[in-house]
Amino acid sequence: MGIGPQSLTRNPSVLRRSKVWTFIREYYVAYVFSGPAILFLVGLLFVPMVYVFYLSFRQVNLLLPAAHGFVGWQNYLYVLQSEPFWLYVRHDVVWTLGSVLGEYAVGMTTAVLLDQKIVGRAFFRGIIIVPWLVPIAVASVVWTWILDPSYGILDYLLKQIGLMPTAVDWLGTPSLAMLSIIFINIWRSFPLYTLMLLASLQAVPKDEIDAALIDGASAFQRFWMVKFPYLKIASIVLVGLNVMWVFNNFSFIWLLTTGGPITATTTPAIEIYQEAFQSFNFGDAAALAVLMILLLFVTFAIVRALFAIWQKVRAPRPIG
Amino acid sequence: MSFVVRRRVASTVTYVLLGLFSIYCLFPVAWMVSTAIKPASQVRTDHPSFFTGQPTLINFLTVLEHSQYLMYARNSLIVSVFTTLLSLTISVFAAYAIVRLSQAPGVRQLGSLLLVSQATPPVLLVIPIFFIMSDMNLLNTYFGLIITYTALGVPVCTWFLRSYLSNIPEDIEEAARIDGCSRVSLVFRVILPISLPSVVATGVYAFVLAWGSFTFGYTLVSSNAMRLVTPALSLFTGLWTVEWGLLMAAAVLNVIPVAILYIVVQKYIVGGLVAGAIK
Amino acid sequence: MARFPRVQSKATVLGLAAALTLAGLGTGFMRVPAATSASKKVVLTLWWPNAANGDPSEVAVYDALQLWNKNNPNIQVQPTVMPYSQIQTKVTLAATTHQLPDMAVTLPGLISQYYDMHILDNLSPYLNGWAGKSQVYNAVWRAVTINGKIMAMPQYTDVRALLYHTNDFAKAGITTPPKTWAQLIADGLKLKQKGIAPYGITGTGVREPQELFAYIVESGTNIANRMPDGKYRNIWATNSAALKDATAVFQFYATMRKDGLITAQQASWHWKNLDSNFALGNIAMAQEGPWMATYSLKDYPQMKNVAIAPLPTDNKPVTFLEVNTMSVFKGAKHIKDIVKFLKWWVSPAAQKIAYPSESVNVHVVPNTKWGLGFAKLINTGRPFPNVSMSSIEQQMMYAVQYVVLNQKTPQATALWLSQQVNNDLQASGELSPQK
Repeated sequence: MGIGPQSLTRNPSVLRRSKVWTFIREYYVAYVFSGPAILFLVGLLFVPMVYVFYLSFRQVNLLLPAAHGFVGWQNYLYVLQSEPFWLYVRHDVVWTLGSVLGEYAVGMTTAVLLDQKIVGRAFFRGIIIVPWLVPIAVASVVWTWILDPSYGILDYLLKQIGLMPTAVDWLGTPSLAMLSIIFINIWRSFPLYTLMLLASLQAVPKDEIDAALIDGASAFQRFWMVKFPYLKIASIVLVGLNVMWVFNNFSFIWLLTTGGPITATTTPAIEIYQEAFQSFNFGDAAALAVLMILLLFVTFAIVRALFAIWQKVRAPRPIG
Repeated sequence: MSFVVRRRVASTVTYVLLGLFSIYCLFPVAWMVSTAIKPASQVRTDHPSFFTGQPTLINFLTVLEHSQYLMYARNSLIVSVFTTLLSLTISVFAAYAIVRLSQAPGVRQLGSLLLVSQATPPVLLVIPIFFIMSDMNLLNTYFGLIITYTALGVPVCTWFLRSYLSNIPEDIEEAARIDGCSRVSLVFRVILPISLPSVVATGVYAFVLAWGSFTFGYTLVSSNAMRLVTPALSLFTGLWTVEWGLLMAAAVLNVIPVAILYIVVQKYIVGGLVAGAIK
Repeated sequence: MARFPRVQSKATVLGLAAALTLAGLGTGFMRVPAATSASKKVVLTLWWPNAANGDPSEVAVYDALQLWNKNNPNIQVQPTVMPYSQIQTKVTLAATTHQLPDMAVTLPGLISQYYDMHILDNLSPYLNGWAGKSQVYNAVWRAVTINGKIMAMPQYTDVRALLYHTNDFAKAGITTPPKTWAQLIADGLKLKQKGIAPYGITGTGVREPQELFAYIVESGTNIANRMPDGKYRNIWATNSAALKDATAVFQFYATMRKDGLITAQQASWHWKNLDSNFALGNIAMAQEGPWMATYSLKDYPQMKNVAIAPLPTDNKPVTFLEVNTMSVFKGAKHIKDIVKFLKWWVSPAAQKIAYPSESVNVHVVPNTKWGLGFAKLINTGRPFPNVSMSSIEQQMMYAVQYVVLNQKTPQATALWLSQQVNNDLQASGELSPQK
């Protein structure tokens, strides 16, 4: 529906036009400012996401170029039925929960420690951030070298102080591999938590802490009743973002264990890589990716709903 | 227990814990440096030690001599610096729009979309982004790498800055607006100066992201002349044996530029994040 | 009215900034400084895994290429170094957008897959009439021939044998290398009694499926059989004799594990671990190949005591024949020049420098234990079947790890692997419906 010459004379159109004009005048700055971000977001994140969604309904197997075409839910059925998909999801849940909880615990502890007025605070703060500056690829080779069962320093030190009788293959033993990569992931990621939580802690108004001190609150009470409420939003954002990052993480696991031994550390992200670059089946890989996104969304929806219910249940308490 | 004693116990516990966490943080880095400066005979040994009687720079020299490491570092530096600048420019304006101009339909939702975008598994993003870069003839170019990393960095950068900007009282801007300041100059003259620490901290995030990126770094680059420094690490993993000394030297060289950057801007980072506490 | 010009100035400022940024980035950054094309100079691109930093075997391959580039200023071969795993990922991506290099070094399991993707150039027209063809082993040509067409240029070949440290054997009072699996286990127990770690395997990396494949063909069966319809199938689940042979292989691993010839740790060994441990004398025996010759050039005193014997076998005197190739991708513009280079690459002039003890050229057999020891085994070598191996290789790694980590019995492992192989063959459209 183009704007024809006669439509200009008609009243509603003029009105609409002027409305459009007002709209533009009112809001163009907002769109000019957010435009580049939207452009990048759409162009390089959402368009690829839609493309992946499209691929997930097609047979795209590079080994069978003749058979490419629309296949409906077939990729999803294949992934859900013939791959140990749910086992990998379980691994991913362990990996994600272990990493995020550990990172949060270490991050919170260090943030609380650094929030105190102590000598050398800047020094310790500087040290704590170091792991986060180390690229993941570098962290992987360094930790692989530390954990090397033949010449690694860690096994040697543990044997020296008598904690372990023999060398342990940390990354190569099915029951230990997951724990090891979680430990390494915590090492690499917790500084961001420390910084963010520390920032929020330092924003707690001084008078509230002083008031609690005068009331004779213990250190724990001061933390829980006064400071923690100020950390709530930072905590939710940190945990929320990191759950997504860790759940989808590919490089760290791949560089450390390539998903092994056997499939002990294989997550859907590893499986995506294997489907795409070892089986050359982009369709199945795309279906896996869509399932991962869905799992994340469903999880967040459930958590949000539970949170809402919890708050409703909790709300009447102060009155009663 | 008297107050003083309790105080002393508390501070002792604090120092002990901080000491332990420092060891946790520094141990791998120290071992990396220690391996890199050892002669080959002391690397693979049944009695590894942190200390060496004969420190040597031979591993570093080999890395610099046998690969064009300085060229890779230059490539990474160009890509990371421009990614940082571009991400910051885009994020500052987007964050400002989300905080101050959210009456415009859709702008408020942008905030949530930024978070939603983080749910995409990057491992599969590699395929469509490779196709896009290939279609636009941007494989093996700085520009292609810069816009890819910018796209990856903008959501989180915007989110960080959004939290900070929402803490700036609006009256600060009012005065400037009455003086007839446009929005653009407002951002440059008023917002940027007071939020500089947060902007710097966010910039470090973007820089670290671009510098350390591995998967995109090797999929979008196929020529030696364009190689980035982190993917270049795989040049030293060795086809037949792992020369750990060499690999650790390459790793140290990889971390040094980031470390320098961090030391330079360190005072901003903590301050910036403190000021930008998520509220 | 007063606001209007400002609207423009704002827009202009932004527009200009954007334009400047894009222009600045555009002019400076959009293009790679391309190699200046002099009159008729051709630059051939090659993805390969040889880094030029120290390891003599990798440097040697470089030297050979340098020699070519020096003598052929008009046909320059320009290598880009990347590990095998990155070559595989990048070829996959590049295949879909036709951004392939002219050539890439390719592991044996991948040739069939690239063939199925229709990205390989058929080299038969250029090689069939070539007088020099006979200087490459027939077994080697067979390994790179699919449906009668030569699909890649062989560049080196690694046939597998049993390598053992003679001093360790002497200590345990063993005089001859084991001939059968049972003897190997008996010798292993003797070594163990003397406190010597007897044997080494790999559990991950591309070496693992190759090692396992050698034992499988020795046992008289195959990972995938070519059926009369030209397609493939693993027959272990349907053929009891074949299942017995396959189970024997996994039983061999299980017995070695139970008797302590190998350790659980070895389930995560990569070829780098196996090779360096053998070279250091940490293990007495291993299935190895001629690449180990390079360790004897380096500072590994224990490599002086190494002897080479055919793999022990209970059934057939066969082994795995690895043929590493250079793939030529379809659409390569200068195919004549590429073929010229590849013909030189397999000639004695190049092979003597690049692959002295792993040569595909019958005339390049150094008069050393390495050269002679392996060359005579080449005709007993069997390549992988011509099917897409990547995902099957992954399953083969799992299978060995299951056994070595005591998670499945030998027969259950054989049946499990059989099922996985057929699933993968089905997914790649190579499964024969015949049973």
